[in-house]
Amino acid sequence: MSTILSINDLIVDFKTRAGNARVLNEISIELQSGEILGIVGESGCGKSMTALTIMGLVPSPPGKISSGSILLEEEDLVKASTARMRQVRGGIISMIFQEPMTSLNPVFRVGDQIAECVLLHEEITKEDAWNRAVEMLTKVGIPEPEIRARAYPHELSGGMRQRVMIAMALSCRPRILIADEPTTALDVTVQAQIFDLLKDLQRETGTAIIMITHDMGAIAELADRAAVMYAGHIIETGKTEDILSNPQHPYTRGLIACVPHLEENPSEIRPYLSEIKGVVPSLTELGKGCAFAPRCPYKTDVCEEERPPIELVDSVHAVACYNIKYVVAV
Amino acid sequence: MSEDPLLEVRDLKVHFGSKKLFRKSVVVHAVDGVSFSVPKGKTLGIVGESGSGKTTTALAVLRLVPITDGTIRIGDAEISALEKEELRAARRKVQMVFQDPYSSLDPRRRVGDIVREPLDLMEIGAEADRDQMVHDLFVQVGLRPELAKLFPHQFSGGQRQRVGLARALATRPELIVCDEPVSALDVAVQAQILNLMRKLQEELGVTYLFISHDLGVVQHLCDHVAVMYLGQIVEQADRISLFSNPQHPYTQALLAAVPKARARDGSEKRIPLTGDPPSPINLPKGCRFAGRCPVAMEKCHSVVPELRDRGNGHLASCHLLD
Repeated sequence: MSTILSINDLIVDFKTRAGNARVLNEISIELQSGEILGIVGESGCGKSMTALTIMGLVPSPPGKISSGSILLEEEDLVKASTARMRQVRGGIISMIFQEPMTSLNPVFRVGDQIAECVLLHEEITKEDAWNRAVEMLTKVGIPEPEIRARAYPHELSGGMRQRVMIAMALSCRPRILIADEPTTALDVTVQAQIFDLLKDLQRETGTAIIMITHDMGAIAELADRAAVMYAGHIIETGKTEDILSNPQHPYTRGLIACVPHLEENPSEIRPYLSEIKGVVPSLTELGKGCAFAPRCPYKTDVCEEERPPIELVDSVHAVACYNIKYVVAV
Repeated sequence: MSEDPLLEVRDLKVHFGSKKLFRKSVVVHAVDGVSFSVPKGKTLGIVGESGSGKTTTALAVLRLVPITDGTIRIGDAEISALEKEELRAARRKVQMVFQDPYSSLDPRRRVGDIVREPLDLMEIGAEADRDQMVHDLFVQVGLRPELAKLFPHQFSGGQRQRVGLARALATRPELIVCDEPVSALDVAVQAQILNLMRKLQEELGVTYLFISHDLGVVQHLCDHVAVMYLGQIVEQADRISLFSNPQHPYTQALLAAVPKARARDGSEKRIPLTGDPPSPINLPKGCRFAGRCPVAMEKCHSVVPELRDRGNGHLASCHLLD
């Protein structure tokens, strides 16, 4: 496996009326070819902003990439021209969004929308592009693809629309697919179908996937590796198994513990859920210390003084916390 | 579920129709023959996918949608037969908490006034005491009382949902209908609100009808669970029995589809469920789930299965169990 995308010390700032909001704070992630990387966190933690930054879609102003680099193999996307980014988007890196209804154009047939994407990126006849659209719809498991290609988005169910989005995103055989909460708007049975589809397509095409979600369950289901974000920082990364069964950062531990997990054999006794006290801090008011310190039960003086660097605890598992020893001992 | 039911729903039907000139009229069978009861101080969870009729059932309990057929009884009042003033008076006993805390609070009113409004409308307590009552409600839901002067946009999602709960508690209802109260919240905030709801139930003995699509949340909070599919209850049991021994193939598929937030060991097998639920306008003839059911037989496509007791009050409707 080789590194296909590497984000290094990326900082993104937004100017707001309340002051400067650092939405991404020295983010570093590496994506290997053919892996599924999960990015997990609550709303406002910067996970979607990471995706938009990779795609070159940060609205500017008010947003600004203040420093850092996004290397697609050797090429730095932060410095890439607008014309080059248009080739990259859809051609090399493509994206699917949370809400499949609002990301499809309601006045065009879905087949035409997929074909348009192919026509933009490849020298191909209209007829071949249409055929590719039908082929992609077949691939994502849409029954009667020739007929469905002629349908408008409103004629399809939510799950079908998300399949169309996936077909469109994969139509130019991208090397990286970014999926931003692809199943949040869908029912669980449909979500399971979409997960299986993504896994199958990933195995077949070798596309690397960045999966952005707030759901630890989705990470467990799909991702090989996961990164946990909090208030614009990556606070823990590692193999999915390690993150789930041996979380080290107090926030990751809190995030896993506060979700009521479905048990096959529920017990009579139902304890109260463990809570993470307090609320997510405002990004304009972050101090110099650890962003989680105000809510952290293990915080010490140093946590409020200096931001903890993210450091390896074993070969692949990295955590940004000064007090791991005490946290894990509990 | 025989012990002193607070809410009793019998054979509830809610059909939405539109009569059109020169065209065949269309009837949506949103809720189609649903019966359940909730004992005092307990929680009944209704789960199902979108379009299963769970929200319509909740709205019908409050008489917020016209009822086509069936009876709804809360305490000794038959809600489904009341009109106008009597209905208004009976509604004092039942309140609702909505899914979206952003759109269910009036953006132009201070939250203290929002919580006070039901007190004024229902003329609860002396007028002079109502400010104190609002103060107490804020404390009860874990909000600082001085926040009452602020507007909804100054609150986070979790705080807004606390305001929604305070408003629902204002009339001291016996029943609170909660329609997906935590699904718009982040998981950390969700835990806080679920704990608050538990605490309020223990302190006040309030009964919940809890609508959700999140099976983990339902398992945590509810005493009894009803699973809905396309306007009907397909399985209903107490929490332990339903989750440890699901009978209906739909319930089994639903439980299997939930991603488990733990490391995979490869032993889990998922029951594949293909396609989407059929339309509630053109209902299938036999079992409504037959088209997607992995174990459907010939009979399932022609004969409607009955919701029967499969032992210890565990109800399920499936030919395979007959």
